[in-house]
Amino acid sequence: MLRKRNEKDRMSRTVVSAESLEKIVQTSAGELVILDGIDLEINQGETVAVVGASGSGKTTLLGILAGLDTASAGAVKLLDANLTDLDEEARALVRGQHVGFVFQSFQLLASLTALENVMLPVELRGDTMAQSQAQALLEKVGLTDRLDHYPRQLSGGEQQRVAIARAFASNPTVLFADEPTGNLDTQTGELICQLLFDLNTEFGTTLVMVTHDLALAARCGRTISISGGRIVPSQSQEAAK
Amino acid sequence: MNMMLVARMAWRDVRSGEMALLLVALLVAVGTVTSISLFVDRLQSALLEESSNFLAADRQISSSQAIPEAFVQQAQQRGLNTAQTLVFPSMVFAGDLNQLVSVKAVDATYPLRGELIVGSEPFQRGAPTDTVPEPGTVWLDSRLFPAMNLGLGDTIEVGMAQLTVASVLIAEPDRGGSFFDLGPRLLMNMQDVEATEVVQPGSRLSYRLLLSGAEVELEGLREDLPLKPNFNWVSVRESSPRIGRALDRAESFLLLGGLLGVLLAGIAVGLSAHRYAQRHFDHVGVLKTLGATPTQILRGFMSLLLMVGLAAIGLGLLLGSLLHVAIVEILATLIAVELPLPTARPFLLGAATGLICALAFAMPAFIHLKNVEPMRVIRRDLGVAPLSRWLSYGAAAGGSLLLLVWYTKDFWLTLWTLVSIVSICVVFGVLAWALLKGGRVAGMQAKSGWRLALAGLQRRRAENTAQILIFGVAIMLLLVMVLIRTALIDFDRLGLDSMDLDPAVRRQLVTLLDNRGNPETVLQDLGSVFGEQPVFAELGRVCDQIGAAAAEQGVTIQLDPTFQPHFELYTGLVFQLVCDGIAAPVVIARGGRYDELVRRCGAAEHMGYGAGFSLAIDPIRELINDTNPKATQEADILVAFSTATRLETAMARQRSWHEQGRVAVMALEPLESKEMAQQLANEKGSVQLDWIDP
Repeated sequence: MLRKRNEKDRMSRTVVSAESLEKIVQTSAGELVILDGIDLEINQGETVAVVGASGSGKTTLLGILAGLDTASAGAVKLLDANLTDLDEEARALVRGQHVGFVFQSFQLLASLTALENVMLPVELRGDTMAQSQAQALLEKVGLTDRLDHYPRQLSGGEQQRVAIARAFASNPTVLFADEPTGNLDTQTGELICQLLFDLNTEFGTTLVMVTHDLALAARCGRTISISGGRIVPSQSQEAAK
Repeated sequence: MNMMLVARMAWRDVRSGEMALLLVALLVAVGTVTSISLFVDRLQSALLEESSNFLAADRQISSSQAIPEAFVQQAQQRGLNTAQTLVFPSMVFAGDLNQLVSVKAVDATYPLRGELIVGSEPFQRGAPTDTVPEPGTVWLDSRLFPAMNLGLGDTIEVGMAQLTVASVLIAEPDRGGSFFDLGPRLLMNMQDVEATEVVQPGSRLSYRLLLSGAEVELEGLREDLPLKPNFNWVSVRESSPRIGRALDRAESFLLLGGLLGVLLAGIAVGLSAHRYAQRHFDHVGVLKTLGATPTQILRGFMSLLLMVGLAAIGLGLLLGSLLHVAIVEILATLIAVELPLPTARPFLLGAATGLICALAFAMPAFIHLKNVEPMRVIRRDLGVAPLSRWLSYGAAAGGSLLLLVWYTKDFWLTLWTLVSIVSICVVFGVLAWALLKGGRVAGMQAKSGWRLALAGLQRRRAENTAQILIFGVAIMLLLVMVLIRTALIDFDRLGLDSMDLDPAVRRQLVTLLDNRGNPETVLQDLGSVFGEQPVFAELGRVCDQIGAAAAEQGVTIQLDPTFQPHFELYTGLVFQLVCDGIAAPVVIARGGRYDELVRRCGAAEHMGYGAGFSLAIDPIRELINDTNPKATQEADILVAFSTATRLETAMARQRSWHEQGRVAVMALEPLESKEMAQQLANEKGSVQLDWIDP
């Protein structure tokens, strides 16, 4: 059955941290610095929004923090795992164990039904209760009558709800969301956003969300602004200085 | 990924149609090879079986000497079945009548293959029997009954023995065209041979040991026995070289055809696997974000390929079997024999081909999937590192090489074939690349539609070059198939090339193959290759003598050392007369020396010479119709001659008319008066009469 973390576990330890994080890529015009010395810490149960203009490096930061990409320099820790020291094989195991994802373009597998999509992360972990867990989650997101529908038979909002159910199916410690409402109309985006926050609260997950929607960012406990590959200090932080 | 998950993924991909193209491509490869090899296998078995019937055994050992008992014992120790026959010509007597017959004495186990057909009355259909004549009895060819005024139960003398006619021999399996088999057959029991006292030193005898059994034991026996120089080992291919050659050529062509089909299917497998992989980059990216490791991805997709491969092999074998049944049905009217059940080899060949196709052509694309970056899920612009060309093309070339070697059983031929294909790919790849690049310049000046199309081609220049090459190679393979078919039918050179020969010997044989024409030049060339030989000097003398006479008639003499009329009657010089027809040269007569036959028929050594030829009547008639428009005209002159005139004189007169271009016919017999001749001329339609009377 799905596990829910108790209040005591929450806000007790750092789950994601980055130190002097750099990402540099080679282009035909020379070196391009995407991230330039990022330092951050995100604690268990926090909801953090990463905001910034297009090309500021927020999506790259999300990829590196989630172990999808590698940094050129610096250190990244996800729970006890130092991601910078791990190869893709080990990073994949960490992702499977601790991380959930919600993407702007849903990223459901077209050849699988809604139920099969949600079952997938559980199946990958070798859990035998995949189907019952997936059914319970789809029930939570209000898609009980859509279990056998393929993604092409679902609306955008419904697809994102399946994606959210899939993200929580592996009972992750951290949930990374990349513009989760970016492809949805305002009303549907609002409903999806509410669902995401509700489930996050219910499961006690740490949420790291990349968005350029300031209203959505405002619903998070903390906002990290990125510009030119660096973290821009917030007004409160400036004031504290 | 566990196997259950992989199986579910495979099923989901098949269900959604993602795997359909790959499945179909593999299915075609397996089905093609299985159906062709099943058909060839059954046809070969049938032909060999039928041919074995002609030998009455799987193999024979023949000799003019008695077969040593040790040979029989060694064969039996190997678990082989044996039977012995002895054939010799002899005069037989029945009352006052006598006849030259071909006697065959057989033991109780004869025949090992095929069957004897006997009847109770001559010239009837008869029925098969599994017995042989009892000691003291004979079975006679139908022709002997009226010729010697015999009936069943009568007595016939063979040498010193008196034997009872017990049955009519309608047919026997190994009735060949040997020189010993002239004359009607008399079949008797081997036990009676001694009593006939016809087997004496100097008798013309043909002893045969018939063998049947496992192929490996037969070949083992052949290696063990001291056969040379007195004993001949006879198999179907040796006894009937034409059947053997036809079998080899049919097998080569069909398998090469099948192989080229498989290479085409291999290309299809490669393309569909590549397409499948490309369509699954995002899929794999998602799986990786959800925690699938590269190893799991690799294992999962390899298992998936294996599953699809096995399913395709299973279905392909079934499809191939059905297809071959259809082929057999379609060709039923052309196949006179009943096809035996197939061996396991075609199924093995089909399954292995499917597996090799899947591994060599599809696996590289599947392996590549493990390299998909998980970051691709949020950064679609992130490409996937191109598949290692060494891995991709190396695996395809390796797989092709393996299949080609397996099919052709010739590594070097295969290697050179592949090297040629690669060279062609390089040359035409460069050309295609240049053509696409040139299209850019043309595109600048073209109208908008063309400009867009050419820009599209230009943008994906590498992929388009590869596609041009793939289709080019596919078309080339199809054309090669047509060429191979023609070459296999027309030339012995390929057979020569496929033989394991010393290069010097091969050169000599190629020289021989190409050498024909003016006798003097040909003999010179032959002399330079083989040195001075008595046979060349003799041929030179013959050509000189014939040449002079031929020149008078305007006939050109050509010497062709490779000419083989495939007629075993001739054992010396053979010849054919060729006439220029309107469309092509036409063979109007063939013949040769058969001294050996004359000697075997009893001619004294110093009189044992014979030569003969046969005229091809139909081609001659067609030739006359083609070249002489008057040939169909009615005769306009009747040459008639009196009883006092010689026939030769009348024939000379008719020839002189012919030389003048007139159509003259001759009265078939001398006539008593000119009036009678005139009446005959009137009856023939008022033709001009040419009366000859001294």
